[in-house]
Amino acid sequence: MIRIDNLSKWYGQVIGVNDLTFETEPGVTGFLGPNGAGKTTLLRLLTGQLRPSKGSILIDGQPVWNNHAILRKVGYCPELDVFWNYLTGRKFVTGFMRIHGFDSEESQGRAAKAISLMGMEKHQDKKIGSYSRGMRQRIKLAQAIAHDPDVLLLDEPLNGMDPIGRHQTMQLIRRLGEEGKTVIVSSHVLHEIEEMTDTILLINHGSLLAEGNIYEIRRLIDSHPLQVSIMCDNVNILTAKLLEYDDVKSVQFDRQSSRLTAETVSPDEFHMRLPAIALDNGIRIHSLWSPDENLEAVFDYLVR
Amino acid sequence: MGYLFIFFLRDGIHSRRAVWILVMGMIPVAAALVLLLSSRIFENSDLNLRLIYPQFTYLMFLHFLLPLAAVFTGTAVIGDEVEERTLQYLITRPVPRWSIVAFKALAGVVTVGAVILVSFALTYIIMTAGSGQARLARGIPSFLRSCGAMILGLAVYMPLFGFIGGVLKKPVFAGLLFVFGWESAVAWFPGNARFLTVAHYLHSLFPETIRIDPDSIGNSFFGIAISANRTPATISIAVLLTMAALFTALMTVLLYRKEYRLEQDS
Amino acid sequence: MPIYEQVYKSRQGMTAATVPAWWIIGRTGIRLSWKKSMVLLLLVSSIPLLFRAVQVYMATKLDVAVDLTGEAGAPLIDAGYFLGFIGGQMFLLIMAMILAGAGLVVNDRKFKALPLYFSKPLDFRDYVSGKFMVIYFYGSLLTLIPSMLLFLIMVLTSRDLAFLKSCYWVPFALIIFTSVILVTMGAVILAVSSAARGARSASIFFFVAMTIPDLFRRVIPGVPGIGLFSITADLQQVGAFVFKRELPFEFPAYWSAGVLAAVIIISYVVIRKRVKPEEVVT
Repeated sequence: MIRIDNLSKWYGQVIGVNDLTFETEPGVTGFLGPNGAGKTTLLRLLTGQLRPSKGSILIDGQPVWNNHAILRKVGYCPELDVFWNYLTGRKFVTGFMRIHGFDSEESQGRAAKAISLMGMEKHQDKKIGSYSRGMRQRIKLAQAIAHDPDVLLLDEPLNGMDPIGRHQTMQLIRRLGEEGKTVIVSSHVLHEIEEMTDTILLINHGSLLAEGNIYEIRRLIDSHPLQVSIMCDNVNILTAKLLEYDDVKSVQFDRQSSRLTAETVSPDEFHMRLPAIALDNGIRIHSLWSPDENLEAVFDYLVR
Repeated sequence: MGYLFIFFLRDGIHSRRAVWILVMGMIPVAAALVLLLSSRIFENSDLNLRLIYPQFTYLMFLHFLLPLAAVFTGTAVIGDEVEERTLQYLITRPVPRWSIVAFKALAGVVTVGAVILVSFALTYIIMTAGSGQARLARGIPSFLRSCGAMILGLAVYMPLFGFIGGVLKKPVFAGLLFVFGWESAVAWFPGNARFLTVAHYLHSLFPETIRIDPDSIGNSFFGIAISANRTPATISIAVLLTMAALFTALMTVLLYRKEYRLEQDS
Repeated sequence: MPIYEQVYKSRQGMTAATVPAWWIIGRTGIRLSWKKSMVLLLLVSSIPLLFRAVQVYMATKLDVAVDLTGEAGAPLIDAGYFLGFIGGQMFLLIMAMILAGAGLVVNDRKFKALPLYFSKPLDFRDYVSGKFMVIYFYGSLLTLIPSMLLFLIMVLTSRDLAFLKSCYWVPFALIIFTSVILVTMGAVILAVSSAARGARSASIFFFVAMTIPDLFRRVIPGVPGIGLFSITADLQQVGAFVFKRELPFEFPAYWSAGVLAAVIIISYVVIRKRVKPEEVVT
């Protein structure tokens, strides 16, 4: 749906996006990177607000810059908290539907549906100027989804939302992805992205650091052994047994809390052999997890 | 796409700017009332409304309200959306970019034009009412011609300042300098430099111009010299329409070519 | 463990700073507004200065010529000449005020910088003085400095001390009159910049405040005292008084001084009301 080839964007001497090439398919994709990584620039390029300095952006096979027709398929939720504050939430969304070319009746229907999806029915007739930050964020999302676009570009959509709002919005984004929409969500908050999708694009200093499934990416980082934490009986016996294998680089254990953390360069083999070791030595394993298989660790390793 | 016009018209009416334009529009009316009252209270030969009227309308409308309101509104056509950062909502819609600026400028012409025309009509009534109905009626063709000149002036100034607002960081400064600096100064230059001003063609169309004694205006920044050489009305209209089309084209091309960066872009 | 509110607080303590805070604010403001457009404006404003400098030089030469031919008349350059020069700079001065001053306070309010300012060891007076320094600097470049230069050229090119003897007080009058102009205009531009929502509106409001009453005066002739409501007319009146010239308006000069004082006080009240250490601007 979205295809980017050798895309670069310079602001004079400063580089905003550096030679990016990727493709996204229907589903949710997370743009992840620290503040100033180039996420917003990339989304502004994707919505035709900025002209690429080099390379191309195609949405559904068509270029975006100066091609307003393609924007019919795109819904955009900007990061900036700016509005025409004198408008009510309903008029804000309905107005944009009218600009999209829908007639008055259809615009109202679409706006009502989107507002309801975002849980803003109660507040739709209040002026946006009186909204809380979370409500403003929701109404911004409502205008992005109201025309039922195939491509949704959401720039930090969860900023300023309360926990319930965050949860509902994340659910909505996941559902839209499952329904076949191409949703791109940018965020610098790792766990937010992690809750919405496994497919990520890691961006730093305008360059693509990694793309794909979070777990696959983690597996590809050979320089950092995977950590596996285990809570079990007979911690010292399991420690000794694990150290017999070459792929296990170190084991730290704490007898008092019955917990050990091993570092392995072959996570698959490690997980295959662990049940046998436990069974042979009568060790009861209570829990097992990987503290550095999450997005935060992957990100940390990649940008370090 | 036509909805854009309604959208911007509504936006214009709700903005604080509209209130200030309205306040500015009432200044000539207030001045006319003061003049009317003064003419009744003070025994002064200077206070002859019939004699004051040409200079009054010329200075108040053609050289104050019209350009100032156009600078205020015109520089906001693109400038406001960039400054308020709402442009990103508009240019990410499936409408051609030219329509965004063209309809916003048109909405500006309609709102400012309405204020100016209402103000002009009230001023006309106040200043000619005392002279009897016959005189009031006799002045109507001249009044309508003045209205036409001012609307044409707005149609030129609005996209001109819209363009300046899209290009420069200090558009109001540039606009004021153009209207009260360049247009005033050039009129004093010998030769044909006056043809490079909008004001010259507006003077040529404004019926009251010929009745003004240039010396009475004085050499201040409101004292725009009135050239004795008026350009024929048809040529003036043609030039003004060409200017309006040219500046509108420049303004729309600008939005196509220029990308507007936000503070967060770096 | 308590949780503290994360806000900027006004600084209440003492400081041993070697440079006054207003100086730093002013210096930074001047540096920030020293842009191409300002340089261009200053260059444009130097044209009248050059023109007048040539005039002054020619006048001193003519003076010699008059002496040779034995014809005598009123001196070509007197105190009124300098008053006329400042009067001629008024439009450019208004433009410079807009360029340098319109955004001075409104941008600090818009970008929520006021709490940051007042979390440092400075108070309202420092802040306003610093901002005023920016206006005074650019205003002086257009009025005081060129008029002083003209005076100097006149003194240096005169063949005797007659001009200096009769006009020795002119530099003091120049300082007083330009200060009156800059304090008044500075107060008004800072007030509109404090009250407006954006630099663009502030520019328009300032321009309207400076020109509308004057326009009224022009279009409503014959109404006694109408000029009193015009800041520029009041400045002309005070200027004529300071330079010992005939007053251009029928009312006394101290009335104009009173109006200007009232304008400054009202502007101060507006600035005081709008420039607050802690505020939430939405």
